[in-house]
Amino acid sequence: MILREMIEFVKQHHPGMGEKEIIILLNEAMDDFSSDTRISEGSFTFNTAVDQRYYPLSDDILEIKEINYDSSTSGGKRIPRLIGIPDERDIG
Amino acid sequence: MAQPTYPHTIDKDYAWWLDRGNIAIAYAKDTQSNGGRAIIGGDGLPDGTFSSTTGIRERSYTGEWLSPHEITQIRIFCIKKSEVFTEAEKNAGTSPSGKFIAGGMTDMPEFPSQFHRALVYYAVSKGYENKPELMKLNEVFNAKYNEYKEKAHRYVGNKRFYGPKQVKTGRTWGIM
Repeated sequence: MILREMIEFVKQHHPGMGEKEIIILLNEAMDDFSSDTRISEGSFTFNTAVDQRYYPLSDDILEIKEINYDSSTSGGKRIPRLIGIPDERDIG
Repeated sequence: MAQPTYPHTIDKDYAWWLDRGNIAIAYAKDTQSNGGRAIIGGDGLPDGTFSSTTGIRERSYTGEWLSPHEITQIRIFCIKKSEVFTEAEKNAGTSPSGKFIAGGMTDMPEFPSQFHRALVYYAVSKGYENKPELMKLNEVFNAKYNEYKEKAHRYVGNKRFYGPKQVKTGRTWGIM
């Protein structure tokens, strides 16, 4: 179902509702639906920097499944998750 | 899809963890490379890594981790918020991107089409929230929305695999 059809359907019930408002609600619905059902999988990439430990995570990531190091078009190598955090804490 | 190149050589024992909403990437202090493989043990170098190619590594008993030693790409495989396919993305088979916008009337959600109607039911239900005299309809459409969510839960749980997920005929001990 494309956006135009969705808007038409909503307008059948709420003729006074503006297109912009409907789009906001549909986006809200998509976030709610995907957060609750965990239906969409995907991948994000970023580059490490020498001596930089922490990297921000996108708000779009709901749950990390695995991390690949040295990732490129030919793949990458899965690295393990450390249970907990190190005893020696480095906040750099 | 590109042909993978094996092995992926990583000089050090890398790991990741989450801290304060960020992802941390680091390697165990006592690892050193040996032809692309993390080796075990030996004499310590000034930078905290080991130089020997033999012996037994004293594995991270210090709990010390060092930040990345090189620039490389990290890929996060995850469950994410859904995005929309533009017509061009759909036709080209590329990844979806972004949200619904006023200019993209032919955009569609990335998840399977049998669940698209859920978004409509959500919007319709929200619309009735502002009309107290029609509150009953709000409940009706909210229930329909939740119905779709349950169906999607089952769809995700089945992982598109038909048939038995686990066969257990009784507890067995030993090797069969």
